[in-house]
Amino acid sequence: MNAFMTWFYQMSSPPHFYRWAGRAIPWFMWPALILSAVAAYLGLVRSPEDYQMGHTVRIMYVHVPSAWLSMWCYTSMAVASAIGWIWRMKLAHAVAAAIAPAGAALTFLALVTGAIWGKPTWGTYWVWDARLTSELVLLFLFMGVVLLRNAFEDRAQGDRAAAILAIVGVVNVPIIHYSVNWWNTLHQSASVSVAGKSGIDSSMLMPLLLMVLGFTLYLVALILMRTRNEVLLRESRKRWVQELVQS
Amino acid sequence: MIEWLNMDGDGIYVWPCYVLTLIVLIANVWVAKLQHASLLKRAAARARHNDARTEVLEEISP
Amino acid sequence: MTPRRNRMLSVITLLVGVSLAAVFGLRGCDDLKSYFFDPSQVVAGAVKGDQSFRLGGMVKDGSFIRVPESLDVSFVVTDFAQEVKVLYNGLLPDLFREGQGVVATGKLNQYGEFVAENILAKHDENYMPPEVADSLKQKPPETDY
Repeated sequence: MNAFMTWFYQMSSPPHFYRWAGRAIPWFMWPALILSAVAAYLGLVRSPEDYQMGHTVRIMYVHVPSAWLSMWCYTSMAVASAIGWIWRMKLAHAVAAAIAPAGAALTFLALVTGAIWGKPTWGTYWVWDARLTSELVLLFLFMGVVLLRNAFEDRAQGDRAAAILAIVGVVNVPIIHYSVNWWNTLHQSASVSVAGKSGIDSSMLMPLLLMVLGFTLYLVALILMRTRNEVLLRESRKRWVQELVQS
Repeated sequence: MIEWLNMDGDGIYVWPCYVLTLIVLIANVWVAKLQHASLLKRAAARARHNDARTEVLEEISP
Repeated sequence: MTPRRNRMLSVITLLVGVSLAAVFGLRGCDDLKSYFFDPSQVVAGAVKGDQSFRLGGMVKDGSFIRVPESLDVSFVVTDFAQEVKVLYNGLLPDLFREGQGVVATGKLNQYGEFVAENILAKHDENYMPPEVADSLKQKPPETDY
């Protein structure tokens, strides 16, 4: 715990974070690339067709990781915002600012791949059921956080306003997750659960879980890249940035 | 090969999903890289400007 | 109380407040959030008059009938407690099967049959290759969907 706190305090120093992240990014990006490529090969070539859906089941290997990680992004953004607000930690706000557009991109992917998948399986691109609607609300929340932060001249004020929206919006995450259990939806309920047996055959579960892992590592790398940019933007007048570009 | 791409007619749903995902994931990284380069450039310009100012200040001060 | 404690408390208050609002807000309008009614609700009279609504459930095995040389079909939707007969004229989605989920939009007629204008297939959460599905068929399937 102590070692973690030391690491945490060191990380909260922008120049330290900037250097550390610069070294760490390839260690996430390359494994992400390899894992996703393997998962795509397994998903598109090696995995079997579904007994009902046929080949369209292969859309699952990009749809499900996008959807899961869109919720993961939102939760992380809310946690970073809360840390930034409570401890007045600027770097945490920078992380939250870095996550928002990445999360919006994943939510967009989840919605669009879901719509394309819906046509051959359900017979429609879109319905206003609880799952689809709450995921659409997630996209609006991400966009709202981005817009709100930019709406203020003063960066600290923008950070605080965006933090409040991010924290308030986090109630939508359990709503998305449990919508398929709480209410009747056209969307099927969860196939993979942490405990208990999953409804997916292992030949399909393997590429799915590999893709989720690949997407997760990719996102960590992307968020580190975007946070470095945020740090540069926010600290552009600081001495360490000047020294950095001169050396 | 064609048969695999076609996927019994489901290819028209499957391939757009994968292509779109690939485009969005690559675009995210690409935009972040461009942003990084332009931020560094701006910081360098600011640093040069500051240097020039210090030099002038040093010249006029005795 | 330190300012930091104060902010921590305000975050917690904010979260609790919004969660409570969400719970009560969402409890209020159940029919808004449920995308469809199941046969038990319909038989119990959850839908009043000749309102249009969505009916969802499983297509009962062996209940599908097509009128020869037409698009007129009928089948029974069940939730394993109650059943509703559905009449439909039109194209069915590719994944429409007996023993699979379905969501139909329409109204009840005077005989308590559901006249559908539109039919969507509802997939369950199980994914498997055809061989596995075949070997599962030997054993009786579980009846919860």
